Amino acid sequence: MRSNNERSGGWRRIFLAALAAMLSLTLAVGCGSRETSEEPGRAERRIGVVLKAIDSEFWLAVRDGAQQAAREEDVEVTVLAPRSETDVEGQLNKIEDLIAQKVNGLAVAANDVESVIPTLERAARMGIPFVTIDSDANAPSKLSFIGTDNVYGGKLAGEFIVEAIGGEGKVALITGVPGQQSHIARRDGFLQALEGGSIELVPPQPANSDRMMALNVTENLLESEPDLRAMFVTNSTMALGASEAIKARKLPEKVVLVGFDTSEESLEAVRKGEIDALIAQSPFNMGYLGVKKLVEHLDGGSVDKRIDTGTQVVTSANLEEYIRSTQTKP
Amino acid sequence: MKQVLFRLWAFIGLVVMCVVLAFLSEDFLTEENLMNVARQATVNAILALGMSFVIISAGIDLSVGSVLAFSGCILALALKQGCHPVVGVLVGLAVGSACGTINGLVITRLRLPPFIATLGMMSMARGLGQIITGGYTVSGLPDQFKVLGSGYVFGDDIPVPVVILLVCAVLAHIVLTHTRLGRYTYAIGGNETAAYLSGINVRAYKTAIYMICGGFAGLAGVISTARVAAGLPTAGLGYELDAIAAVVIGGASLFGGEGTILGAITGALIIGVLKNGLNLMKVSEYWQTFTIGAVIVGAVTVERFRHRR
Repeated sequence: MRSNNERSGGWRRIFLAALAAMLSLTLAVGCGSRETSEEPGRAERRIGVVLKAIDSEFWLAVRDGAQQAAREEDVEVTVLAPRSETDVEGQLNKIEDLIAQKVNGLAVAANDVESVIPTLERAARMGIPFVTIDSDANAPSKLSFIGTDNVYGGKLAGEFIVEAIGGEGKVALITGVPGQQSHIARRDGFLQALEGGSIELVPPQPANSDRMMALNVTENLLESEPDLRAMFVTNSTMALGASEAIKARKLPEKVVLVGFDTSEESLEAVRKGEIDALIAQSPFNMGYLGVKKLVEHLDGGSVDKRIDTGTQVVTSANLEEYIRSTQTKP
Repeated sequence: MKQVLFRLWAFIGLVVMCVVLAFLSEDFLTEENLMNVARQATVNAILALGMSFVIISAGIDLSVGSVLAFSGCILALALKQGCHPVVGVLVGLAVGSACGTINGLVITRLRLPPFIATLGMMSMARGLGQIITGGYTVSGLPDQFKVLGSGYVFGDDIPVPVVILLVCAVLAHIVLTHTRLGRYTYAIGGNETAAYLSGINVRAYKTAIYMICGGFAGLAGVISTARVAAGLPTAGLGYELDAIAAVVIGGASLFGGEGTILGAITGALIIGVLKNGLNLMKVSEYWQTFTIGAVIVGAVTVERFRHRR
């Protein structure tokens, strides 16, 4: 039970709270009036970069790219990220904090295509230009989307397969969660590459970017299509699942397997010959070009609405060279 | 005087933090940034209001983050079906309160410890949110509704969520200090057996306490959904821990019987100011996670010290 003594303490507390609030308000007014209207010098330019998360090699590479560009252009870069790729609200908070700092430009990898738009448009209204990197958002004031050309990447995968199997035979396609834009684009590019040849495509199946599901789907495929020649799997997590199913049936020599994106484990699978090729994206370029293009814009240059960060076919032939190129951190 | 200082230490801590940040970053004490902090702290502060009732009654509610997501998803689906925004908001509040009531009933009727009962609800509500949305984001919500999350009142100065928070905080303070429900909340938390023996209907009041907590989680779901303009089945992951931290930093005891609304709001603001300040000072996400943990441990240590005197 609360005593009378504590009750009166409550009033004193409220009084002191009010006092402290007044004190902090005074401070706020005192310091808040400072404004600088001069054009910032080059070295004082600040670019904010907000990633989807910073929990994988991919995002670390984006960060390294942004920092490299900042060194070359002599600007200050702040890289922030919410706690996970699903943390939409946390990402908005990070963007707002950068807007409050009056950064001179923003590069954002949107966790949700729609949620981020009002905040980015607010930045634009306050005179802060922005680009999207890796994952686009359809904001009207966006300078540019800087990311992988997934259609072209899918096409590279298709061309690799056509050549590897001599232009004929049965080919399978496993995709991600139905409706995800990047996976649809990879599929479209892949189908373009197959057009006109005498390749028979088994009906495509989704494996929701899930390794276990990819393993099951592949097992069923190998069972129902014993003369399958090649498979394209639209990300590397699923490619690892598919490769396990192919290994279990002792078929790595017979079935050509191509995945999309790279990870330490999937590159190791390429080295062992369990995955024949990976279509590598360039997360480093996303961060690097994101900052570079913002600086170009601030310098008065024009920036293309769509910038491809590049894709590359990684096979056992160029594996070592590829790994070396991703590890150079100047 | 010393005693008063000790009671107020969380608030003093907040003011000191603000003063230090004002010196470290010239962007901290701008109107734009202070409004950011207020808006960003709102969802956690609203969860902390409900959590205060539960913690003062010597309970715990681990389900608030999931309940936030579940109410947000149902509300978003309702709006997509053409529901009026007002109806949608009521749906969100009702779903939250219903989850809270179930928590209360499981605790008082099935006699499960609050930790287990709400841990179960945490997983069930998360699962239901994913089931009803099929795991997809529910977007394309009406603009009238989004105002609740990203709108402003009083000449584009005060964010709408902050106004909602202030109204709720005053109501919660009045309920906690000036009503029977509030007195009984402290009594149950102080000594449940004594409360029972003195004739308090402990079961009914405890159920009501969890219902209030669920209702605030539903409200937080409404605001969060309006702010991100979408119903996200993955929203609110880990928010329960921030809410518990806010209440504890604000001086409540996890053993019950102690705590105030002013404290909970202060705690939520401390966490909000800390996150914002670390962003302004360009501290990496990894260090931010570490620092918030360290502040919680530090705050509870001071609290212990205060009790030992």
